[in-house]
Amino acid sequence: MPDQPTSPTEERFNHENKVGPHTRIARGPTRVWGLPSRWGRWIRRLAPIVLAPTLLGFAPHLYNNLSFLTTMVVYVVLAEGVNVLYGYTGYLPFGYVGFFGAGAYGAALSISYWHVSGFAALAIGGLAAALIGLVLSPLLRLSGAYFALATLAASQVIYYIVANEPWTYGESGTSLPEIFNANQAYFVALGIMTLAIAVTVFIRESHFGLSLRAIRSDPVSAAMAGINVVKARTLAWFISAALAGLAGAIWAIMTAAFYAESPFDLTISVYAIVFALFGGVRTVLGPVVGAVVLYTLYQYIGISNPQYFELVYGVLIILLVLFLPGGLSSLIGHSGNRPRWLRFVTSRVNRAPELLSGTGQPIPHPRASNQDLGGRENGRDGY
Amino acid sequence: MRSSPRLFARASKVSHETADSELPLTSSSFEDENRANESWDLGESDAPLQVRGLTKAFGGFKAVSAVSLDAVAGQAVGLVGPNGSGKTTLINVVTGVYRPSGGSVTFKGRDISGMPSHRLCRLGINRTFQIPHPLGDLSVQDNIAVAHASSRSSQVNFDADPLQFVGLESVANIQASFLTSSEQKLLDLARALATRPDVLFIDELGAGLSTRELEHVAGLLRQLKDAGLALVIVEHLMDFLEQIVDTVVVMDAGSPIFRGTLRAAIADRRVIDVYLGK
Repeated sequence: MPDQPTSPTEERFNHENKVGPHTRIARGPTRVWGLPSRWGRWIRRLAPIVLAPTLLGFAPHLYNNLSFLTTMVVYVVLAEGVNVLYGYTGYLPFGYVGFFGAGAYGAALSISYWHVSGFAALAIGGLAAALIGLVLSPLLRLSGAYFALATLAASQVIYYIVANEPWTYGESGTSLPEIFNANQAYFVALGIMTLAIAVTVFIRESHFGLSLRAIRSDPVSAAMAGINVVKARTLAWFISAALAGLAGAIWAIMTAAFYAESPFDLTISVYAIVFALFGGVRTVLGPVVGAVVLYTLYQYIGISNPQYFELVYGVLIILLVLFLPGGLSSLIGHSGNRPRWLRFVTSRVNRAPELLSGTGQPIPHPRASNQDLGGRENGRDGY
Repeated sequence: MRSSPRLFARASKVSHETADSELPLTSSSFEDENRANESWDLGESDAPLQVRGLTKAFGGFKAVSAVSLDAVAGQAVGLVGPNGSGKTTLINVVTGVYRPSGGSVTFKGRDISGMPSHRLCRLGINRTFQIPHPLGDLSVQDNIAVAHASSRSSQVNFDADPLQFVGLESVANIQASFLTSSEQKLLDLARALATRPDVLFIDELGAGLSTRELEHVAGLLRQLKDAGLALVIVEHLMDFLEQIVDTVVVMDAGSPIFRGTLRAAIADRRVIDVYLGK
C-alpha cells in the first residue's frame, strides 16, 4: 500500500535522489567557526564533550576539596537535566529534586540490600528516577505554573514516603561505608557529566532537538508537521529524569550516610534551575558554566562572609533576571540573542567615530540586523 | 474512549432529524446534497478523502453537524459561509485537533476519524491555519526542515522547494517570529507543502492580504491544484475563490446548505438569505 506510513528517515532516503530540493533544505551554514562546515560541525559537537571533563579533571590539582568538586559536578549534571527539560520543552520542573532523591535512594538501597557494585548502583539509581518519571508522566498534560507546582508536590510525596518507611531506613538514615572512595567518586561524577553534555549535544544537533524546539514554539503546528508531540515530550522527560537519577546516585555514593531530607532538599531544585538559567538554557555549555561559576561563588562566600551569603546571591539573581534573561551564554554568540541594552551599547561603540563626527546613518531596523547576522554566519543558531 | 463518538453519533442523528422537520429549507438542501454528491464525486473511490456526516459538538452546541465532503485529487473545493458557521471547526476535526463526535472521515479507504495530527500528516493530509502558527523560535529554514523530515513519497507531481515556491527563500535564515503576518501565512503553506501532502486544507489564507499578494497566492494554489493536490479552501473572498475552486460547499450554523459551483451559489436564494438575511 502506498499510503502506509513508514519511518520518516526511510521516506527521506527514498526520494532523496529523485527530488532536487531536498538537498537544499539541509540545515546549517557552510562554515562553522571559520572551518569548512563538515569539520567545524564535528569540532563544535566534540569540543564541549572533551574539553569540559578534561578541564574539570585537573581541578583537584588547583583546589583539592573533592567533596566540593563532586557536588559541583553533580550540580552541572542537574543543570543539564533542567536544560533538557526546561530549555527544550519549556516545562519548568520545580520538583526536579524528586528524581535526584529517587536516584540517591535507588543507589543506596540497592547497595544496602543487594550489595551491588558502585556502577550497578548508578544504573539502578538512573532507572529508579526514570521509573518515577514514568509514574509522573501524566503530569506532562499540565502546563506552565500548574506543571511546576504539580512536580513540586510529587517530589514532596516521594520525600515523605522515603522519610517514613522502615525499608528505606527512614529513621536511621542510610550508610554505605563499603563503597566510599572520594577520588573515584569524583571521576565517576565527571563521567556522568560527560554523558549529560553528550546528551545535550545530541539534542542540540539532532532532529529530535529540532522537534522539541518546534513543539515548544507551537505544539499544534509541530504536530501538523508530523512530530509526535506526546512521544517527544515524554522522551525528553525521561532523559531529564534519568540524568537527575544518575546525579543522585553518585551523590549518594559520595555522601554514603544521609537522611532523606538531604537528597530531597528543595534548594537542590532551585539551585539546579538557577544554575541552568544563569549559564543559559538551550545551549550546551551554559549550564556547565552557570553551575561552576555560581557554585564556586556559593562556596567562596559561604566560607568568607557567610552572613552576606543570601544577600549577595539574591542580588545576583535579581540582576540576572533584569539584565541578562538569556543567561551568560547570551553575551557571546549571535547578537540577535543578546540583551537589548548590550546591543545598544555595542552598536554605539562600533559607530562611535561616525556618531561623534555627526555623519552617522540612522540605526537599522532590528529585523535588518537579524537578516544580516542570520544570513551571514549561522542560520541554525539565530534564534 | 472509542465509545464516545458513537454515542454522540446516535444523538446527532436524532437532532439532525428534528432540525429537518423544523426547517423545510434545510431538508431540501439535504436532498440537494445527495444529488450533488453523485454529480461531483466522480465515483466514490476517486476521492482520496471522504468526510461523511461529520459532527462535532461542544457540550450541547453543535459546531459542525452532519457535513459530508469529498476532496478529489486535482480539484479544489471551497468551503464558505458566514463567521461561526463551523468551517474552521470542520478542518480542526478532520486534521486531528479535535476528535469528532459523530460521522466518519476516510482517507484512501481507511478510517482516520480521531487520528492524531502527526499521523495524518504522515498519511498525506495537511493544513494551514487561519491565524498563522509559525514555529517562532526556529528559523524559516528550520520550519521547513522539521516538516520535511515527515515528508512522504506522494503521487502528487509537486517537487519544488517549498520556500522558493511561496517566495520566502530570501528570508530563509530569519527567525520565523520576525516575519510579517502574511509571510507567516505563506510559511504555514510552505511547511505544509514540505510534508508533501495529498490533501491540503487552506484556512483563510487570503484574509488580510493585499490585492497583489492575493493574486500571488491564488496563482500558487492553482499550481498546486494542477499538480494534483486535493484542496479544500475556506475563504470569505469570493473573487479569490472564483479563480481557484471547482465547487463550493456553503455552510450555515454547522450544516451544509448548498453544494455546486460558486456561480450557482451566489445566485442561490438560501445562500443569499444566509449572507444578507431574509
